[in-house]
Amino acid sequence: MRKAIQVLALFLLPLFLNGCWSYRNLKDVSIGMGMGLDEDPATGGYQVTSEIVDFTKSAKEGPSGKLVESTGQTIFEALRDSKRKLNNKLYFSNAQIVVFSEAVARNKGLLEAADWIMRDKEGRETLNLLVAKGGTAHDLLATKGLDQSMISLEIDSVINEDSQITSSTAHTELYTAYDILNSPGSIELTLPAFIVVDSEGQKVAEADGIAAFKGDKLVGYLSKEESKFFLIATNQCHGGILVMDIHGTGEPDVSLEIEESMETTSFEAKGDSLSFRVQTETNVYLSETLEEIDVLKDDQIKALETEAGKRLEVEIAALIEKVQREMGTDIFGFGNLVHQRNPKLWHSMQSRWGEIFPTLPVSISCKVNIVNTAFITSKEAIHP
Amino acid sequence: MFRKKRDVSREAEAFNKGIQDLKVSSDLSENIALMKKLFENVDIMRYRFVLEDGRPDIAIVFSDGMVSSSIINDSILRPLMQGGKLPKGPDRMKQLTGAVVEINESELTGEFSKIVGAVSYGDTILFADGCSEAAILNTKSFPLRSVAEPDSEKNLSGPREGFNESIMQNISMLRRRARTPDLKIRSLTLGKRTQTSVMVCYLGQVVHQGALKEVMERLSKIDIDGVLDSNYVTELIREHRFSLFRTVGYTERPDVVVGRLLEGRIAILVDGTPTALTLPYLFVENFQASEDYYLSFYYTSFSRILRMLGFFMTIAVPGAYIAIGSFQTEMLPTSLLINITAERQSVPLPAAVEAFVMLITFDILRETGVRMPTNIGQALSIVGALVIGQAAVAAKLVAAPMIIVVAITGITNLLVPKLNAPVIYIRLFVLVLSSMFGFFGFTMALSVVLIHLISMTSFGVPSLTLDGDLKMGRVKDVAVRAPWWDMITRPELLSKNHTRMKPPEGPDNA
Repeated sequence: MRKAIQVLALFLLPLFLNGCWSYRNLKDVSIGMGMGLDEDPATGGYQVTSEIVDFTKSAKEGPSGKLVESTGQTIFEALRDSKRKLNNKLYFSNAQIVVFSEAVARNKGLLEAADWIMRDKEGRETLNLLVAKGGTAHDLLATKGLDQSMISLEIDSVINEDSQITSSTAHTELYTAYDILNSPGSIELTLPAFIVVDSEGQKVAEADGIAAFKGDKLVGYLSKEESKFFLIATNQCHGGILVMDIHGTGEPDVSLEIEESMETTSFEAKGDSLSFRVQTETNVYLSETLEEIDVLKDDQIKALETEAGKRLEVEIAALIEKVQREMGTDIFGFGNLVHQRNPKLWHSMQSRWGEIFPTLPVSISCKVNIVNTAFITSKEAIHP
Repeated sequence: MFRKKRDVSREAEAFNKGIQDLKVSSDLSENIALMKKLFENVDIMRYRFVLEDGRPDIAIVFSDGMVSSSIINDSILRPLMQGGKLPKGPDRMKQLTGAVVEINESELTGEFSKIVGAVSYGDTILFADGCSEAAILNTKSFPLRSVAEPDSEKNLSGPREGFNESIMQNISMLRRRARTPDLKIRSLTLGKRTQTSVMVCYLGQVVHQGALKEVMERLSKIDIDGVLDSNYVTELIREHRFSLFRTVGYTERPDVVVGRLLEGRIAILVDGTPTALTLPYLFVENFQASEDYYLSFYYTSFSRILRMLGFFMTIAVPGAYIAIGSFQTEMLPTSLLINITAERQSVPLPAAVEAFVMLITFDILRETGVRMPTNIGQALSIVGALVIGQAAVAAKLVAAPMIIVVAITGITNLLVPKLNAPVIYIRLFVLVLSSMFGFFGFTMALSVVLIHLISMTSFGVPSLTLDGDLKMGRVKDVAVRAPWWDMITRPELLSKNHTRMKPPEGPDNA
């Protein structure tokens, strides 16, 4: 009997997982792929640029995107305002990205947009959020994709695959961002930053580092180099190339491809003073070098590993110091760590965290393991 | 309606009762006159007299076209005419059948009802003057379809024999496969006017006793004027009379019948039809084929899972397409959503209506394929594939994804021919609920079907058990067919006599 009830319960559960019950004719919606939010200079409200799928072209050419602009006091009003131009209602359940212009991110903040999307029945919680660095969201969406005909799809896949290949930007989906915005202080938001560049006479979008937030307001950017070290220091790095200037000549001489990187942060509390320790261990492939390295000799590999570890320590230390000094926003989540490990301590210092964070002493130790050295054993193999 | 039914049965009763009262008289001319009266306007009846002293002394009556002339000439007429002095006296008929005519099977009777039935089935009736009994002599001979592989159940390997329309030949095919006195064959006659013989076969020590009792009882209650096919019997004895799903199985293969007898089931053979009935019928039998037991269990297990998947797909795909494409669109991957939307842009009908139209169109095509003469099949393929498929999409009357959905539905439909009646209705039911409530309706529709299936029984045996008591022994022949050395018991629901064989001690059982 109990089993029968269990089976029945399992059976009934899907009923509550259903979404909307209303019939939606696919002919009667305009499918939005991405949304860009700009400030409306005339009213101070929002100017929303939506990329929708263009179905006026023949199916053989494949789908392409087109932009629709509308304005309103709030985002939702602006979106509905677009109905004055469109035959169909905008439909955003399958949208991929939301772009914030730099002005919106700095002045208005993200909370309003995040709140509306989370609240709306059509909002998708896995949307990728990003910032149009130094420009407007409209200009970013007006670029053309190189691989994909719709820029929203292209930006989305660039963001999703970045941490595997280049580690030049962070990847934060809407639900994570919403959580971070609603847990004040302990960890701050980072979003990917995109710029518009010229490529073969065509304007294209390119990932360019990370936008760092304090609360829901933009406070600064990390360059794409710094982003790599940021990802290593926050355990989000799964790939990318470390270019090392091992001999201090000013010229890069070794490239190491990251296979895997692990990081642990710990802290020590002595009375009221905190000190943090960031430890990383990175497995790399030796993929390029012009140096005379005999990869069969352990001591040469060890020396290279030690040198690379030291370089990494220097870079990460510089990055943390820059963030502490220039931005004062805890994007590394140090506060979050204290919150989790020692809630009492956290509550005692939560209100002062903004003052404590810039002065935190952080020690860094990095270990680099070369796990693969490819086929060439030494230069002599090529030039005997 | 009920009133009419009663009238028919009373009329049939009167007809039969009239004959039942008639007895053979000792006057030959009286008997012949009665036969002629009974078979008035039946112009194929033949009456042949053996004269003695210039007047009819013995008569034989037979039905032309159903008898073997050579038997009548050589084994009946010759001994009667050339045998010299014919016996006389009160036990004359016994003497005639015992010492004169050379027929393997003869029966003495005084009842005209028996005589009428026998002469209609190709037997010859021997009347003799002064005897109040007649002899029924076996002279049956009529054309029969030869034994061939049934078209509806073709196999790659395994026996190729199939039943034909003669019940005795069918019984012989069974007996050849089960040479044991434990194979019981109980005969009865159904149909007031057709007098069809029906045989119930089972293995006495293995059979499910409850089901046997139930079957015999239900068969005895049948009161119908004619039985032309075994489906008459199916509909008259089944429980859940309005259910879409079968509770009685059918097959044209003797090997399948014997296989099921060995599992404790009961077979009913009906004269005049090559289709035998087997019962109790479990839901899982819809997915079983005789070949499953003749080919490698790896191969057949996969095929069986495909058939189950086919059943699920053919009832669910149209409903799921509507639910996901018109209600829960956010579940579609973006590129798929774009493609489907692009296809739907210039199509006039809403997706749900389109699905109905296309499914009905497919069913029309299928029914046409069954009904039409085979030599115009080409026309159907051209009209079906070209006009309805390609041209409808090109003319933007139907969206291309819908054609794919209908094609998948149609193909998977053919995977489960034994379920062809239920799937048509269930598919539409799922589609209706899905187009009203999306996935909620989809789930509800499938739940209703499942609950109905679980509640069904076939002759007291539950057709689908889902009581959570999953034992290894119960599922050896369900989705996966276990190898023969592992199937050491009979299905536990079907037979109380569980053990089928001793666990084999092969050199390598691992």
